[in-house]
Amino acid sequence: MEFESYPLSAEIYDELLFPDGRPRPQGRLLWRYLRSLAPDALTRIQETVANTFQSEGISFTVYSEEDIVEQIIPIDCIPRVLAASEWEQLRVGLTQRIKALNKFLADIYSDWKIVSDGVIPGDMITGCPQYRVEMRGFSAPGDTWVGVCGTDLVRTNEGFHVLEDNLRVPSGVSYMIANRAAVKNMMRRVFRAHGVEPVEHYGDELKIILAELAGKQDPSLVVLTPGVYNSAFYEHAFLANEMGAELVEGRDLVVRNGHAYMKTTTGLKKVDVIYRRVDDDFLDPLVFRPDSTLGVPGLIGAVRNGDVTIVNAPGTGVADDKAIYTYVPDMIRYYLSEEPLLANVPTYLCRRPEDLEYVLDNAERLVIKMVGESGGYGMLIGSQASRQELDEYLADVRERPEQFVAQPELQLSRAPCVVSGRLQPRHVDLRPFVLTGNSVRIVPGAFCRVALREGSLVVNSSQGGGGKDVWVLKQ
Amino acid sequence: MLSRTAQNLYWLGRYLQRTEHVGRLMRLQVESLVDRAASEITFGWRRIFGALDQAMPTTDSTFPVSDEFVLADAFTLADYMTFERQNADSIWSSFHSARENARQIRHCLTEEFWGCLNLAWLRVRDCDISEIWASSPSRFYRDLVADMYTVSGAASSTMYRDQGWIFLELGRWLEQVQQLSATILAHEAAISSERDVTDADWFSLLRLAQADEIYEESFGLSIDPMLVYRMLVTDRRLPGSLAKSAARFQEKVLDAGNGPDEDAVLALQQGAAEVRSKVEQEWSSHASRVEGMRSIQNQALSLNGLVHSSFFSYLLP
Repeated sequence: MEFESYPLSAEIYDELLFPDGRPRPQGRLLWRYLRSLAPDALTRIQETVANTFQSEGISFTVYSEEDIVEQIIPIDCIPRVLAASEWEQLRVGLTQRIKALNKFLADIYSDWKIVSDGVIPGDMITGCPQYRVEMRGFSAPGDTWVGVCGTDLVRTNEGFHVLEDNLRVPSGVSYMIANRAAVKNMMRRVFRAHGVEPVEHYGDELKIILAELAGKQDPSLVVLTPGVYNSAFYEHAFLANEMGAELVEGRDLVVRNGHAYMKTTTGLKKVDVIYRRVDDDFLDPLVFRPDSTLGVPGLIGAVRNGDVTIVNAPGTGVADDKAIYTYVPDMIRYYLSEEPLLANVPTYLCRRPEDLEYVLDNAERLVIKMVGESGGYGMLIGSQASRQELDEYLADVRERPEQFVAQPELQLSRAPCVVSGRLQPRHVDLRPFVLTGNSVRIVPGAFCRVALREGSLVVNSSQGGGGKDVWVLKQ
Repeated sequence: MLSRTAQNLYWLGRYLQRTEHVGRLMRLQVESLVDRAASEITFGWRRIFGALDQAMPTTDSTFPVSDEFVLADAFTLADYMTFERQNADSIWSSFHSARENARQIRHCLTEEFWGCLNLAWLRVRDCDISEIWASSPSRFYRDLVADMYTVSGAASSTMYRDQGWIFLELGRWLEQVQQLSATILAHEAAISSERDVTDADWFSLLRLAQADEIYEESFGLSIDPMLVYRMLVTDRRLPGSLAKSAARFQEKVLDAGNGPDEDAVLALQQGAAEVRSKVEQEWSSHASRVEGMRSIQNQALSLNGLVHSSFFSYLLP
């Protein structure tokens, strides 16, 4: 497989190659291996890897107006390689970031110091729909509100940037492990030669931090899922299997006398810790949305009493709000007295008049996002929008500016993918998973999302994105 | 074990068994299209619809018996029984339900069991009647039944023998009791309403339970309905007989142990014992056989309810 026709550019960072076509040091063995393959051999590897996902039913669910469709997540067989030094830089930066975010959450639901000290405007917090007044005064175990975080990182020629912190129910870790299993089997020699850090123990690590947060050696542990029609159901079942936990829905749990129980074939059994994959809104109809059928009446009361531990704690979404995100570097300075090790993407808060003016004048060069949306929805990429789309979107921004932020259109790095039997560059991001119990644990790997459409910057699975294995090198 | 997980396993067992059963019925039927008389083919359809407790999509008086019509009609009827999504008993629907139940509890299934089941499902999912009719329909059903054996074998050789296995088996054996008693009943009903029944009709019933060869070895080629009946119903050496299925069901009920509702569990245990003793009775006449099968069928329905109230949907304290 030749790289001669593979397009490179000085403006866009390529994960495997320098702009002059030489391989980056960490990917040299992979580059040699790919060059040694006949074009049809690489196509065969790609097909086999994709077929593995099909036959094993590694899927996600997509909703359309007509139907609910179970889709196989697309996978590209060429791994993305990270040097040990690059990973170390990310590890310490992510550790620093999650510590600050947990302190922030503990603070805003109790002492409110960061607001009193004028670091963040209070109305930004209370005005965020993800701020749950019902959780005020709650004390999370060890002040760890976020046990599981999936941080989205992008790389440009200037280095890594944090795009967002997913602090509610981040998904994708099962694809990280499934990608590894599929690719490792097809590239055994080069995998071995590279000396790649394992990721398969993620389930064990997750179980450890859940036990730590529950304060018990061998807690009764469940994974709470919205059910089989949730887009990430495969992952919920996968994690329950990895941890040897029961996979429960809200209807399987009851609260009696302040204790949470699951319904078993022999009667009710007490539950100690819930790894929940249900959004706050639906957790408890007595506290949040009364029409929720996915939750458990009385659950939040049991959580507040400390009878059952829930991970992540309800109310964490306020800290991954797209407007609050701009203050994370300030949080790090405020709580840890350290300088941030990982940069944010420069962000304009449209609630600030000067930022709004800039956004309106430069919309063609910006990515504008609604603060409460996720999954690539509610955003506009200025350079790809028509004049009419821009005008309509900006009218909305003018009307309720506090609902929008904007960021410069980053040239996300690209990585080689097998497309129609040829190597083609596609934009990628990186989502490592940060676990926090008594300490911070990060499995050396990540879910690398790929924008499979040519030129697209949208990597979300729900919008045509796929995945890649990530090889973090031991040395 | 979580009640809902046990319930999914129970229904997984039932739907897999149902898929296999309808697959076997259809295989016999499409094979008969090759060289059997139109009346025999009609008898076969009547038995299939009756076994699934469905009305034939035609009336007795107008049912056509010309070869051309029967063969053309077979295409539609086979489509309805194989791929029709609106027909809850079609192979597609039963297999889809089995796979949906499995998908919800795939963390409780072994990789081999899930993998076999998923691959077999993928082979059926995107097929349609025109595709299988264009080549060899009997081959499709033969492969499907073989796939079901593989799935069942993968489950049997890799699943840990815990509560999960018990509920999977509980569903499987109760479905077997229900399907076989319904098929025998439908056979008896078709006999009483049709032309003279041929030995071929009885042999096809034996083939359905993989009992044709052993019958031939034991009793030769002449058919005695009483002997057929004995083999399918009371012979516990036959893996698919009613006696065997009822005995296995009762065993699994006892293995499941106590549930939170003691009265329901007691009723379930008694019901399972009654079905078992019923199938071991000797029914000599056609009328008593019909009555006996009907009674077993009704009891199987009530046992299904008792399984649910004993372990899945009991009243909370």
